[in-house]
Amino acid sequence: MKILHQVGHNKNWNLDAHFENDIGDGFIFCSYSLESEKVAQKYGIYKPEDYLDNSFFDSQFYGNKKSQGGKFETYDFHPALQKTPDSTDEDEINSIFEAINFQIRKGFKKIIIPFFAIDNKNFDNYKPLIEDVNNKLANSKKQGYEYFFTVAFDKGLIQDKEAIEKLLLVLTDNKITFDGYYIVCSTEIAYKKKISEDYDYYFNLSNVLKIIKQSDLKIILGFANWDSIIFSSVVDLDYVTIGSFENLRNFRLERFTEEASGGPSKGWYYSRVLLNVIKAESIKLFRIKKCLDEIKNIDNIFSDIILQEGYLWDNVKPDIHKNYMLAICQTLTELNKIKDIEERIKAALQMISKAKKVYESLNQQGIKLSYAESGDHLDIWESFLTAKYQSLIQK
Amino acid sequence: MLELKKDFLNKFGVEAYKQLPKSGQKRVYLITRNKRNEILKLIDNKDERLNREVQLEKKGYAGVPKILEEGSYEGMDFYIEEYLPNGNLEENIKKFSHNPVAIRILLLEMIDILEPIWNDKHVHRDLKPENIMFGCDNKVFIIDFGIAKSLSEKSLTKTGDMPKTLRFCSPEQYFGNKDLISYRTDIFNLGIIAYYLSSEGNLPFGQTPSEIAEYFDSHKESSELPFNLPSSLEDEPLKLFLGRSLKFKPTERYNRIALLRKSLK
Repeated sequence: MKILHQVGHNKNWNLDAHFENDIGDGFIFCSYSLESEKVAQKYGIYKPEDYLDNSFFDSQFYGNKKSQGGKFETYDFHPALQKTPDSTDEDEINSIFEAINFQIRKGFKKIIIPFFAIDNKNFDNYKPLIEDVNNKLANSKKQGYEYFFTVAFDKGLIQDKEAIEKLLLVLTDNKITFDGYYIVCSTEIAYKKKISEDYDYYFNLSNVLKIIKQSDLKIILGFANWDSIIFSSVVDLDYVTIGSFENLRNFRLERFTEEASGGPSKGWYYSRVLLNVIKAESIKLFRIKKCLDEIKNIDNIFSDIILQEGYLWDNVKPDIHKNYMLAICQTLTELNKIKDIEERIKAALQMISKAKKVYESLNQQGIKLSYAESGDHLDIWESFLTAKYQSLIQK
Repeated sequence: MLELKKDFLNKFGVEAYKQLPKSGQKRVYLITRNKRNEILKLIDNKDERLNREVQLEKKGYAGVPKILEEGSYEGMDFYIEEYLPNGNLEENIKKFSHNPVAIRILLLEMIDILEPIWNDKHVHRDLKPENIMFGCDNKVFIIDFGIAKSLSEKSLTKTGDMPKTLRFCSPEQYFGNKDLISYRTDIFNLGIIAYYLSSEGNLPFGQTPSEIAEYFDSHKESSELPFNLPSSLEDEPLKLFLGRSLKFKPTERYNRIALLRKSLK
């Protein structure tokens, strides 16, 4: 499994993290954050030839907003500019193939075929369009290129098992010529929480990933949060993304802006041990209670920097985000060294069990964490993985 | 027996004939022309379903009996197709007894026949031992595309056409989920046939239509169809094939034909 940076506005953070600190294997750039003329250009000291071979470009046809800093309007083929109520299927197919040709012209070898967001109401309209795109690609595929078709699930679709089954019938059809799918999925996240606690999301999305892999197709799990630990434990994913800001880790159809401001946030500390984030403000309490070592990331220079006493926390500082990127990469790499899925699930369950014990220990030491920092998701993850493990050993 | 009229015999050069059991709306005869056996089918009342069957057979797919001649006679449509002398799978079931390799070869031959048909967006939907025939040199043929569905055309009925028997039917056919009908429905039917051949004529989900209906109904919620593998079956590829092809959900079966073939080799 390869790890890709889901790149936002601060692309240099990701490029530096990769080239200087060996974090991740490649990049997904996107049209929301990058003007058309800036795609595949020199970024700081990094030339296109340094990063293009391991890069993707997401034209984000699931996005339709021009406001708040988005760059969609700089792409003359983007539906944000093109799509009108009178647009025909032919217009849409033309836009999709213009986006493919744009990527080829820019030097990308791994192509993301853009597509619109799919919900459980519009699926019947989109089914023939997916088939038409596939048929057209079958006649125009270039050798040496890989093609990943975008499937953007909205919250309603990922909860609707019947609609998912119908969609999978199309996506895994014998005549599909795509090499794989770029999957981005919206999920319900409770107010003030950072990670989904929705069983439907875990069970249904993992089922989608499993069926696609069983059909000998590749998967990029885009806009992945640290629940990628869970999905990559149960399915052999080909690519998973890591992102700095929350908008790059939590797919929401309604907004793709990277709200670095997001209010006066001081930022969050991602702990590999807790499998969760801790508010910058809470770090002081850990230090007072002398239990910072219990949650500290080891072999992580960024963690070492930001946990120094007197460090001025600010969510716009790259080290805070690089701590997360390095930590999640280490966890994903550790788990994905285990080839056998049963063993991998067991290892993930052990991580969860350890995290729960640390939470318990912190509680006993009088560290009372906020709702957002609590490990509620760990019970959901544990139940989900246990169910998956049991179904595997019963076979 | 319904005799064929003399002027028909003369006009089409029929030297001898024998009536065979009726098949749906078709009167079927084994006829001899130029010392060669052929099948004559006379259609009392041609409908859209039969039209589709004839159209599909006329496409000349390998492993589907060829239509040698067609026409109408006294208001009735007829067509003459090649004769398959070695009976159907039901009549040849003993050849496959305790012979998993032969079963796998048969399945692969059937997949070779079906793949181009599937690629043209047709689904047979009624695969069963009676519809699998053996021609000269025991070459495999698939017959009776009477309820074959074209996925690119409108369904003929609101619920999708059910197979004539529940014995080899898939859950999506039983529940009338026409949106879920695809070549994976045929793959389920192939799974049942493989089970039937591997287990001396037993079926995985019940032996009678009512048992099968009850089984499907009781497993609708869980979307799982647990079954016991035939006790004498030791062939790993065939076991895996049964496990994967007999899934409740079509997408959990084989989606890619290359993988299906690979699993049977």
